[in-house]
Amino acid sequence: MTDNLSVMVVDDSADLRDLISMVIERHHGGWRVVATAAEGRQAIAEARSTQPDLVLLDIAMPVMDGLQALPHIREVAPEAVVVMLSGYPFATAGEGALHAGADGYLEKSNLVHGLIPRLEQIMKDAAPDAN
Amino acid sequence: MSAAEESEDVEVLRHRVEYLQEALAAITSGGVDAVVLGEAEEGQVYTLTSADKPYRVIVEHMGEGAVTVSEGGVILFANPQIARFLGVSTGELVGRDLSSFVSADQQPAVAALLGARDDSTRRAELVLIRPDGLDVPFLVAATDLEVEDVLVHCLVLTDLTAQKEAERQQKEAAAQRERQRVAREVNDTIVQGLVTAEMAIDLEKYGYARKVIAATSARARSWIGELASDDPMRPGGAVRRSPASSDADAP
Repeated sequence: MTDNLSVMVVDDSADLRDLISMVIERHHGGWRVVATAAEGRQAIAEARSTQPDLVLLDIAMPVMDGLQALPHIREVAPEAVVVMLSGYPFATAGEGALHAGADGYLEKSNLVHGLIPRLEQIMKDAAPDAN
Repeated sequence: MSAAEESEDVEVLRHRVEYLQEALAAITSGGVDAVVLGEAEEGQVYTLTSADKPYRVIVEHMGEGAVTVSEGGVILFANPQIARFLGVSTGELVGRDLSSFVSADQQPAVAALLGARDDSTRRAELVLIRPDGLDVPFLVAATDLEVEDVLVHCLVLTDLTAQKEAERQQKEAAAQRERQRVAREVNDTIVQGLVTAEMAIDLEKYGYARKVIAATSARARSWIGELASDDPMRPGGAVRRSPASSDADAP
């Protein structure tokens, strides 16, 4: 289930997009970054064209933020698992993100060591036969 | 005249007296506006109620303040509403100079309202000061009238207190939203930089981490500088509410 995933990374920081992409590409399971985007509108267009398995979607972005883009991404890429990434603690923004339809919420901390295990867990939980 | 005829005359007179009593009662109670005396063709109309009464009633009961002011700015008439707005009686207003209710910086506005002599209605916002010190903002409409060759300024004053309060609350809410937006921007900038630096360090890209920290620091200083630009540092303004953490210096 978690092997050979195609991933889209959406964040307005080019540095973070690059580093997160690096962490994902180093994953032994053969995960690959098929698209990146710097804001919500770009993300919707990229999701439509690349149909990623997993979308890492930053919340705070210019032009269109992650929460605004989320329903549109769901519409154009219905099979994608969407995980919100945020600098805010879960207590501040997590409930809202899950309520808006995200499959998971990750705080931006310890991403080099913690990102992949947390994404693997979310992917397992989101699998149709998870329950 | 027979007794029967006399009795009939008395009855007629009694009816007339009753009719006149009823008419007088109606007049004195205010139920009659005018009386016609004489024949239908030549009858003379006597108006009991002044023709300008409806206007006077409107002026005395309307929600706006109304004053007439002499050419020299002395209040000649004030309706009860303006007296209520200013917390005084109408008697305390009449004879006073309108400008005595206005601060020095508002005097030019008073002069502009009372200065012109034309048919136009001039409008201006004016703050009047109540005797208890409270400011009351008004929208004032001034019209000039010539009454028997004497110039009189007629002012209608609409109380803007509620409107100004609503505007103040809207401004405060907008400022609060802007503060929250800037606070989020500062938070995002710092968090984004720290997360990037943390990742770079974990990936052993130390030079890159240093650059990210320096760039984040510059951006954060810029934001904070913008926030602080309208609020210069005052003595005591740099005192921390709690001691700064010394974790960073811990061995």
